[in-house]
Amino acid sequence: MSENKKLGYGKVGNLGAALYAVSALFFPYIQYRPNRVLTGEAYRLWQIDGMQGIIYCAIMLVISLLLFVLPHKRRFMRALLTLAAVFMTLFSLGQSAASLTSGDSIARASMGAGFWLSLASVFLMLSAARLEYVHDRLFQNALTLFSLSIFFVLLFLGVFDGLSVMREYLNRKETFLSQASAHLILASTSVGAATLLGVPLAFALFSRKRLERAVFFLVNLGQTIPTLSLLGLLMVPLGYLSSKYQIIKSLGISGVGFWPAWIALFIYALFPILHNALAGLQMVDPAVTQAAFSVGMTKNQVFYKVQIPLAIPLMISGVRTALTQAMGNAVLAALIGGGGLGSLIFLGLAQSAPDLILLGTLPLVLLTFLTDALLGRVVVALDKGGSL
Amino acid sequence: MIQTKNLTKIYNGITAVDNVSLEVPSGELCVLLGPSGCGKSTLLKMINALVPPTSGEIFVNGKNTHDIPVELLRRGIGYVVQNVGLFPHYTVMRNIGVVMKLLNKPKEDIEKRALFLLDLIGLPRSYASRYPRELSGGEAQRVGVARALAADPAILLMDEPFGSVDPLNREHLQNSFTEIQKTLKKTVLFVTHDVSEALMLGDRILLMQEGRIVREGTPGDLVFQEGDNFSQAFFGSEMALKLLSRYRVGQAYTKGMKIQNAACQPSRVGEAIPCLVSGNMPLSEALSLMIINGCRELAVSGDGFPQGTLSFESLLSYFRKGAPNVQ
Repeated sequence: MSENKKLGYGKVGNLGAALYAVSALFFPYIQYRPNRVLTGEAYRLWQIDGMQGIIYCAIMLVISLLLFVLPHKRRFMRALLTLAAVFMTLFSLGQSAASLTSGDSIARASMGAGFWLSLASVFLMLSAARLEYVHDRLFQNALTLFSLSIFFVLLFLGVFDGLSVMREYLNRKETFLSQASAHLILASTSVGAATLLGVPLAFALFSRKRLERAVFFLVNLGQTIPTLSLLGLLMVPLGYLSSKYQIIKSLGISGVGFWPAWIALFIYALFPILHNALAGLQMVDPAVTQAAFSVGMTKNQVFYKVQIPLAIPLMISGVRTALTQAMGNAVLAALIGGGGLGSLIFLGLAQSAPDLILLGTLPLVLLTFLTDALLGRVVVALDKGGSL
Repeated sequence: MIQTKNLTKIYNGITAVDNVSLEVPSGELCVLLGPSGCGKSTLLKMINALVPPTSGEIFVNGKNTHDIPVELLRRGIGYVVQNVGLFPHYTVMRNIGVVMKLLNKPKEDIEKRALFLLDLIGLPRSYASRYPRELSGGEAQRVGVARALAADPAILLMDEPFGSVDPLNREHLQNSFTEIQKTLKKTVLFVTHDVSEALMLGDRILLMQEGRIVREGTPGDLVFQEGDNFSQAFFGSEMALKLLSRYRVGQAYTKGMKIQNAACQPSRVGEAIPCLVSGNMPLSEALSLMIINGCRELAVSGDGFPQGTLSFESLLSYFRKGAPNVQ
């Protein structure tokens, strides 16, 4: 079939559009429970509150249909429809939850399989829409930013307030905010410290093969110990040190709490940061370094003008990996009283309250995604030589 | 001027450069020719202090390089290598301007000079904003030459600069470098293992074997005078043909002569036509044309050369008393 007779996005996008319709029609979109712990009943979107659900469902079907019949070259229309699909997925969830639980403060409504499927299909469509603008970075970023802002605007307008996750949030707003910030501080400061140590260490190890092997033996060893064991193992020496030395105790360091978790995350972050920083330096073509000397650069100039700029993209991708990893691992800090979003998750596990688990997980996923995307952009912007 | 006195380099007990004394007078393109591993690159790298000599002295423009800080020395010497080593994170403009920047030249001067050099090496000015990864091998090599020329150094060191380029592009680069050298008259020490390249480019050739200079002379001397076994074997028995590409039809033809025997083979339409060539054509191509067309004479015209003929006999007599020294 010729290019201009084709309809819809490519294969991926069309799959997304099809799943979008299927999720609205056939899958339970929302779970209703009379109270927090009882098992509940599932509703399809069109089963909700008479006309309201049917209208949402109909709009989503129309969007899906339009995406299928639009000629292939109308990519801008398709991008707009994709954003509309994002909006409808989120908006219909919030509205249905609100109408199911209105006036009943104990009843809970949470996302069902249909919503998750709808969300997944929206991701497929979004990536397909971005692919259609492969040469237009600006528009690609705008698409992502618009989708994110749709979510945040709806969140701040209180559209999701009927959802059980939001009820959990509203009930423990204080705890949530302090734990979320504790989580961020734990992950970012440990990765920050690992960067401050790892990058200069990489420079020190650069072209010192024997020292490199020795250091990497230690760092690798740290990496192979499971996170949970490392936390446990750190309790003993730290507890001992704090009982022995007053100064360590007065710094707030002991076998449990913030510091053992911080140290464990630090050790884990060191590996990818050190590894990438060193690889970045070693990747610089010797011909380029020699050329730098041959045009009359001093050793310092070669280092700052050539080696560092060429190594930096890989260094930052190391920090990016470490940060993503640390955001996830920091959940375990809750097990030894280190705080963070993990404390909500483990509390939810203990109480068999899935909503509480979601309250710990969803922001974590979102935050990790955002920092990862941001650092990814930084890497691309700095990688002028196109080495990555 | 480049001068070395008893220069020796020993790597782990192996003598790479053995007691070499040479002199390249100002404005001369001197070729260091030899098989790989003969120490020619090492010799070159000692001159801009990329490799420290084991013993001996080097003088650049009369000054002992030992007394000049290496950075200053290198900023005054253009250096071109086979794998270019352009800075991948710099645009072509910044790559060319890097030495001037190190010398704290004003930005406008650097830009002006870079654009001038792009013209000189035959790349469009729009290339100034490109990154090295967007260049072909030949283009990158040209930018490498421009970078070496940027700060207008009196001395150029070139280490197989056209070695990694395909044959067609190499010939193109060699031709344009010959043109550039004609106008700039740099003092060049040019390392290669390619006999044709040496015979075509060099004002003088130094033949190296196992760290020593075993023979030296103009390209004509080396072809027409008998050398030792190594030299004969290295230059090969086709060396006279290789030498031909150095000279142009315009240097060897007879002006004002009409074609006597228009002995060109009948063309495909059956009509005999004389082969017309430009005075700028290398003699090697002219000879090749004679062979292909089975004729002993070519008509010469165009490109500012008065009409005339080049015959096989005049070609022979041009070289009869050894190769002429034509600049």
